Amino acid sequence: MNTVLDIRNVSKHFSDFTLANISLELKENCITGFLGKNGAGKTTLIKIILGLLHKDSGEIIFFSNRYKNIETIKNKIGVVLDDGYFYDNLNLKQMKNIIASTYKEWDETTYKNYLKKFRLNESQLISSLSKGMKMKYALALALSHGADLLIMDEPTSGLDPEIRKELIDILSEYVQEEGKSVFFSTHITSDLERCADEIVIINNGKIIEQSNKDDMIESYRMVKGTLDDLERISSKSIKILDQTKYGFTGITSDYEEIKQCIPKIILEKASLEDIFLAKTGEIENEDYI
Amino acid sequence: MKTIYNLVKKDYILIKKSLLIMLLFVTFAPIFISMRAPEFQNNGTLLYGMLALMITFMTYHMISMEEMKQKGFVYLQITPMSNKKIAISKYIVVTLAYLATTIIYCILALLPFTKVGGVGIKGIMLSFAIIELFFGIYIPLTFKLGYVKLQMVSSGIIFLSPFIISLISKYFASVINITSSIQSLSDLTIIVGIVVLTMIVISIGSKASSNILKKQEY
Repeated sequence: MNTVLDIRNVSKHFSDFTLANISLELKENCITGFLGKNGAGKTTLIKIILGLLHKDSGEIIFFSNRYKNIETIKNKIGVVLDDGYFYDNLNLKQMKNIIASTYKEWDETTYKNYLKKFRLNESQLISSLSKGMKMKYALALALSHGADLLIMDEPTSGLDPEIRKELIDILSEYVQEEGKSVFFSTHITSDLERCADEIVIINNGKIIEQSNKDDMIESYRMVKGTLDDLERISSKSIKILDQTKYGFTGITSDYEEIKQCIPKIILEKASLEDIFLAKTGEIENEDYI
Repeated sequence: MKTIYNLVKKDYILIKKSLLIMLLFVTFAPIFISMRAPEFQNNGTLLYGMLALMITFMTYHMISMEEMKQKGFVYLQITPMSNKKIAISKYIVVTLAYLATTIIYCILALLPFTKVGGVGIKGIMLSFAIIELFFGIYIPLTFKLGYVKLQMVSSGIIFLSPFIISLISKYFASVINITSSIQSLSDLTIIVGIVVLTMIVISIGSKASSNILKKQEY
């Protein structure tokens, strides 16, 4: 599987926030979910990838250096930004005309098909579009110029479940085509659980995990037991999510060891949200990794 | 060319609500001023020059304000569009505003009942050169400083302009000689000279704007 985006030790320093030594790889024909809390650094990294912010150090390699100049690379990238970033006074057609004229492989038929599918009217003013409609319009623009990599910054935030499902279906369909990939930032874990192949978790400007989604989910278990059970478990092997006077709920990757030690303990499959919270939540037992 | 055409069109759509008011102003202001100040009825060069500079400045400022309010410029930066095309489109926008003002003014000057004083080709070309030179610096400055900071700079320039002008006339009497030298040149020489000068200014200004935009963060 080819690498479509290779980020190596990218850093960016602001007065109140630092993106530190970010390294990650995006594989072809994969949906990579970029998960992080608000303010974790998702948008900053996406802006660096898109050239909207300049990195202080590190290297970003697109499509394994297959394309030599930045214009060709930009032709191969489709972008959906949170809130669109359009000219509100323009109608859909006027905005499209500006965008379409910049892409070498603009496909008007594909664009029209998306507009029809999304029930968007070309003469409508951008300012009159709802958040969901703006996202659909941005997606129509991003998918109509033969992009091989689709970069999306929080496309599902603030959208109703129906539109979110529709978007996820489109993304799943898109990556089926040869050579297409999606990089999708969000803090809504359920969207990624449905469609992502790879998961990257960022917290406080640092990548804390990158792995295959199924492997990640499979490597953790929810643990439920009494406080007596908890006393017998090493604090290093579990992250407590909830604790009352009757018992506790935690998450662990050492579930086999715990089961051997306390056979009656309850182990349940962890969701991506549980793992995400365990990885990025306030640390109660700081030794847990 | 299609990209530049769409960018120019976009700029005028952004200010379309103000275009009618500006058109009315360009049409009626010279008539009103000429009637109130008869000295402009014989020679309208100064009135025309001031009107052209004001309209191009207003047009550009209104567009810059809309660019600041809306986020569309960020989207342009993620497309393969070159920054040079963005800069060139701004020069075209200014030139079109200048041309529209000139055409309307010349039509008004041809109609006797308007009392609007005429303007010669030298006056037109000199105004054009001054406007293009001004925007040659002003457009890159907009990209460098942004609309808000530039407005502060503009206010400072407007405030200081009477002092600067008196300083220039006091210490640089040669400026007057330059004006009289220009007057003595043939129309063709002036046209060719100013067109060449404008091309150089636009080319340097576009290059400078492109370099500034390349370093900007959004």
